Amino acid sequence: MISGGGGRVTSATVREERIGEVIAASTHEFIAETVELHASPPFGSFVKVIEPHRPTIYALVAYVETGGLDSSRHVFARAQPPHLVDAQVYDEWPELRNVLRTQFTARVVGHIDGSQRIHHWLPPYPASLHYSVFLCKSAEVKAFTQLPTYLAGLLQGPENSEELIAAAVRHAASIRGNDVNYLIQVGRAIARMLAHDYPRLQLILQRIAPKETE
Amino acid sequence: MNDSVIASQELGVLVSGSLTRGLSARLNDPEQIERVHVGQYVVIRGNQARYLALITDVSLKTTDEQLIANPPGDAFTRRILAGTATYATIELLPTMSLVPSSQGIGLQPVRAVPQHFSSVEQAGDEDFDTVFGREDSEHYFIGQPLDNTQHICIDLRRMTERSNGVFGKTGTGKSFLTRLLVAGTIKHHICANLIFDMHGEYGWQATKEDRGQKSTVRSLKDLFPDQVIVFTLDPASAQRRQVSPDGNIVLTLKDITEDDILLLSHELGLKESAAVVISAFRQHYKAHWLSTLISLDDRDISVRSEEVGANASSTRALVQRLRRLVKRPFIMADILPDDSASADWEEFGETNTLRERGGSESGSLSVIRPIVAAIEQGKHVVIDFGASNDVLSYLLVTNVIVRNLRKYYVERTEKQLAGGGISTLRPLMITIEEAHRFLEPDISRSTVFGELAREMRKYNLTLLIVDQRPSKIDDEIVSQLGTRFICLLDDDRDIHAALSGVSGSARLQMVLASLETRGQALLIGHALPMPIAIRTRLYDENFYRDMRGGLGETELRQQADTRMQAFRRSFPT
Repeated sequence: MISGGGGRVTSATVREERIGEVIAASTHEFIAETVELHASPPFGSFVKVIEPHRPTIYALVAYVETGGLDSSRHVFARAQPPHLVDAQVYDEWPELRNVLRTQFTARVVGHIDGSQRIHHWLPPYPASLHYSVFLCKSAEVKAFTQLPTYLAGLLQGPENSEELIAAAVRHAASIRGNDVNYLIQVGRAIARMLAHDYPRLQLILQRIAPKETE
Repeated sequence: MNDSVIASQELGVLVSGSLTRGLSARLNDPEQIERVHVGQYVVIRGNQARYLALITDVSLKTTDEQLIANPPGDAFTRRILAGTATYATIELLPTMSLVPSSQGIGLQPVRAVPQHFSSVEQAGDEDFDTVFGREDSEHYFIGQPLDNTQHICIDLRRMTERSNGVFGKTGTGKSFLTRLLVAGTIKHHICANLIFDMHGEYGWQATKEDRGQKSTVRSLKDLFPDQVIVFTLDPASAQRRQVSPDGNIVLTLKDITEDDILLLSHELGLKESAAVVISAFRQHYKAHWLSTLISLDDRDISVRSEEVGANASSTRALVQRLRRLVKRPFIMADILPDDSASADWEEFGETNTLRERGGSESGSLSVIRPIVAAIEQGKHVVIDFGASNDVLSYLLVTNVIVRNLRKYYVERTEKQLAGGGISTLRPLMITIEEAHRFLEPDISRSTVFGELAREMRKYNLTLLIVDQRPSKIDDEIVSQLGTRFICLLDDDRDIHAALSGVSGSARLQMVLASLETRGQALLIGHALPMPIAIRTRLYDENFYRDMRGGLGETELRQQADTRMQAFRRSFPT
């Protein structure tokens, strides 16, 4: 039986890897700007926001975008092949690193309360603006994804949630050495959630199937 | 009772259904589906009782119709879908509830339905024990459940309270089952048996066919040498087979009545006018109508027909056919004086005698004298037809004997009851094969068999009907049968007929159709608390040993020889 979480994570002793800062937040999601340009966490990876006296919010990176700081100014092509391309563009115009920025949207999938209990439902408060966003460590992801119930909320999300679910499951499976039994267990849970929507289920299963059976 | 912990042997959980339409349970593990068979018993754990239910169907279901149109191609998806979007359900026919009480577990008919998600498990040995009882002097081991080695017993006493039927198409083990049943009643001294052995399967060694290989199996005579008496209609064949019958059966023309002939109308190809001719001659010639008719030459036919008021050409057609009929080796032209028919029952050692009036139209009791004598001495009788096993002979002899036996039993019983006593007659179970020929709807009402099947148990006479075409038997008779032992049937009409009058028959049809070709049967009725599909007990050395009560072959023979000598000395020849 799938229940709504209930596991615990041990308190982090390893130094946290700060990857961004919250710049917009709601109950379901928050938007963060990355610390460095283009240094976004991967699509489908787990991030968290830690605040004192509040639950630690767990979220999945659902959307990444890079563009100009000033939305009124368009980004245009600057490369001059063959000598001035790609990274050389940034060497030529170092100020670009200041006028461009990378943002990512993270869908909230659960939280960890003061007793270190994992809950696969929305936290009572959204993330606070300007707080740091950290990348979750493998052990944390493993603990959080032990049960697949955190996926349930994603299914009610926007259109392309199949991609996000598949990415999250692949990520959780890779931590487990791509264990087929884990994939089957999670696949079954998703199949139950999508019992009446086979086409959507198929989209996800195609994206998480182990290589040899594809 | 309703454990909160999921039982380890749990097959699934109850999900829907009703008492009238049956219940439906979802299987937990989709991989179990091939291990769940129609005809198996499961137990549903309710709060108040355990419910025994028969699996009548297994279905594949999907949560989304699209899966049916677009099945997944890869093994990974299939594994994931198994048990989630694709699942299996079993249809259950609840047959009995086991209600715990201070006196132990009580059996009750099912009047309630357990709640949603009640656990469904495979039925265990103790459940079968509770329902069917353990082997004892009346509970007779007949076979094992399809998926279990538990001994299923039938209540022989209850079985013989009514007429019963063994159905199944050729080669499904009808004769073995019948032999098992008869052997049970002999071993446990439940009733006397009279078996009309058309194909030589009960008296002496029978053959068994297994994958084209023929071998012999023990007959009833082998198993109970001092209790089973074999009378033959064909001594010559017995001699060829190197077996020695205990007596011969001979019919005289006077034993054959108008009704006997009319029963054979179809087989003899008689026209409707035949009944009129026979009636006319019988009125005129009384008991000699048959001998007169067959002795007429061509010229006589016209004269005599005119005399009795019958149509000459009808008479001619009838005479031809009758001559063919009486040309059988076991039929003797009347050589006895007229009053030979007045058998004196005092010879049977009875104080209340029954006298047959000389020249009576109901035939003579002399035909059944040896049979009655044997039965009254505690024996069981097999009538061996030898080479005379054509349908006509079988119908004629069986009808003549049973008609007379019925008369004897009725008159004796009535006499005993009239004297304020109780009937001391040994209950008699008559086994007939090809039963539909006696019990077809249009003739069953006019033959002795229809009457026997319907109501003769009050006279201690019951039938064991063995047949492969139950659909040809009068529906009313099949539905009156106490217990039915049904082997595989193919024809839908037969399946339907074999189950007529049984509650939940539509769902039992599925069970019946799923039986294996050989050695399996569905048992329903009076002798069992609930229907069950079984693998029939093997007719093997263990069985032989059981039937002999542990005696070795030689001891058994010696004992039998002594007893048979005593019997022969007392036997009226």
